Amino acid sequence: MIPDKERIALGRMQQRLRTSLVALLLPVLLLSAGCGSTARPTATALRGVALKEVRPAGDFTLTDHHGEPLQMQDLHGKVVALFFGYTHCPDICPLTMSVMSQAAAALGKDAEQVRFLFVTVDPERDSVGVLATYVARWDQVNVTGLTGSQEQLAPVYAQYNVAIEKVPKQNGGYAVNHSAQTWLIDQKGMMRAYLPMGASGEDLANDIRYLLKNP
Amino acid sequence: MRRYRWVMTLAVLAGLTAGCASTQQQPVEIRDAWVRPAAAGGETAGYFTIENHTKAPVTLTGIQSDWGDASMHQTVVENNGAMAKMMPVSSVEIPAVGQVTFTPGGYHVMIENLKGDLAPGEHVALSIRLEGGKSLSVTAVVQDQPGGHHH
Repeated sequence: MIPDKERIALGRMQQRLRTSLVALLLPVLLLSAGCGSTARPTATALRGVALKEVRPAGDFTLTDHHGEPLQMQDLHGKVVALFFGYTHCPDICPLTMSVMSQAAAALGKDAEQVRFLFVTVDPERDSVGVLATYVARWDQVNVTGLTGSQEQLAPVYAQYNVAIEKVPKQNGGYAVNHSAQTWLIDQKGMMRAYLPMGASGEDLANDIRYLLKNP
Repeated sequence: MRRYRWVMTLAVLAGLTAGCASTQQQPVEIRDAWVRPAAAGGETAGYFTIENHTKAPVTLTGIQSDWGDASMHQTVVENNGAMAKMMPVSSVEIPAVGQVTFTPGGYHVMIENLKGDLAPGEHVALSIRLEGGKSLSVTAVVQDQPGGHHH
């Protein structure tokens, strides 16, 4: 049996508890209402590595995964995210494709102002058809696969400091060790930064937004 | 006051039972296993988290799959990505009461000379050898991204 005094105290406590609950919940509700109306996040700084000397991105013409020529200079007006890889690459390249895919999803409509490029370091196996099948695997992002002859590709690798090391395997096949940064080129065709391996889709989206805002 | 004490007791009890949900825990467990899609004849990479609940380290010494030639690799990135290499790995130690995650850009299982197409949704059985002769079986789901299946 609870004595009367205690019962009164209990009643007061319940009331106080109710009041404090409302006091606690109200700001939370107001805050979450505020969150709903916030526009897309703004990028105030690059998360990748900014180049100390901004320079024009090397121009080249290669064949895209539809078999059409693509010239780098024609992409002025867009931000370009450029990656070198190969379709037989089991780990790093699908990871970068996923990062690009997540970035495109995060960018939403802004993704229309971006060209995502995947230049092969393995032209021997990465034909136009192979590249077409490969880029189609990531349906949330529009990545253009690019290939060419060894003679066309060698100067491109040199322009973008791409190191390539063919490693023979016991089964007669080979793997290709290669540079794995994602180069970021602004709308004027200037090389501004690169994203190191390990950067997230959110990092890439941030840096693209930054370049779109700071041309 | 008594009522509140009751609520507290119940809350604590509920917390405890949730924590004890997996009473039949294995000493070494593998979870969240997945493999990237790939075509027959090609190669792919597989990932998982391995948890060691014992008080001694456990060493992973190899991986097998009926789908092709499986081996352990580690991606090593030099100078922020100036060079990315895949290095073969012969053993991986899981610390006592610890875990190691095989993840894109790090440790991975490479399966080469694939005997069939690995389409999303397909299942791949992996057999993971531990030092001392034991091995663990796990079924990996074919998918393009980590996640997507929960316990």
